[in-house]
Amino acid sequence: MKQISNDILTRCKTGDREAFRILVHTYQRMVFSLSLKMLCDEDDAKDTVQDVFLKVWQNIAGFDSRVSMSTWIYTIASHICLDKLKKKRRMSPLPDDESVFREYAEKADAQTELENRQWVAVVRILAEGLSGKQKLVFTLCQLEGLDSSEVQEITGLDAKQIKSNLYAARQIIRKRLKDMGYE
Amino acid sequence: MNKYDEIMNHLKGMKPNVEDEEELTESIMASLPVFDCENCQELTEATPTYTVQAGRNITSSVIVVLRTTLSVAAVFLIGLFIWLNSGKHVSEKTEAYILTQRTEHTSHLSGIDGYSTPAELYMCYMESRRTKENSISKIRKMINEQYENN
Repeated sequence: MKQISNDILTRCKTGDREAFRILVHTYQRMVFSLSLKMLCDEDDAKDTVQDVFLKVWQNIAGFDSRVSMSTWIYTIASHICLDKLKKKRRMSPLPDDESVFREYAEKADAQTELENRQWVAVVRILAEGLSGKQKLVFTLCQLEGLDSSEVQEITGLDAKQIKSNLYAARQIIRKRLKDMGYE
Repeated sequence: MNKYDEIMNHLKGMKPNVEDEEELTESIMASLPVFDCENCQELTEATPTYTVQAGRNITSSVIVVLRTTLSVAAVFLIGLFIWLNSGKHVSEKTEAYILTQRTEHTSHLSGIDGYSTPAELYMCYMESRRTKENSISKIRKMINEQYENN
């Protein structure tokens, strides 16, 4: 995980905009990634990135340096994403999503980069029917590749709750893949 | 390896790309409020999102307090209405007394339906007071007589 230097952090705390620009540059892709996977909409994801860094800017003076910056930013992003998910209507896959997913699934073993619209389609197919919490845990553990302790810190859930949410999410996704003809 | 693991392993290693990173960074920087670092106060030059938020918070807290107060008042009024209509506040003795008085003294005022008017109730009340006074004086008289006999 990328980290910024203590010098940049200290400058950010004193309101140095140039230092903050470096911080934004370092973490914006990480926040965009989580937001896009959670909200399945590129414009919403960009708005979320903006909201997250506005919150970071407003609260950075009180940031505890013992906590990892990425974990802190992930925590803010997770809360904002969950809030936005609650306000959004239920996300259902679009008619084209299945064909995009099948196309991707055929060559998932090859190291092909996904475009953002493909990401959206794939996640919409996989995560349909998951609750906000299940989706967050699944995204952080499976798609972002974070370890369990970090996910605990970000979500505020304990290990047991993370395990159960992840298990439920996996079951739903496995069933979906099975229904689509993938074993 | 099944398809689920294959897909998950593939997705795990990837992150979506921000198409125009510089543009996004610039828009974020432009949206930041200006800080007066010496006094740690925000100067409202850029988007004053936080001010709007604070205003909303105050309004919402006022609404919450108002809603709670009105709910309590509504429950109280409904309770009072039910209690008054159930007639539990009038004791059985009083009710029986009023009925007796009505038939004895104010039957000429009562309608066929037997419901009392305020005037009838007032007369009953006055009658009951008179009766009470009479009974007290009778008791006194009896005590005096007993005392004299002894």
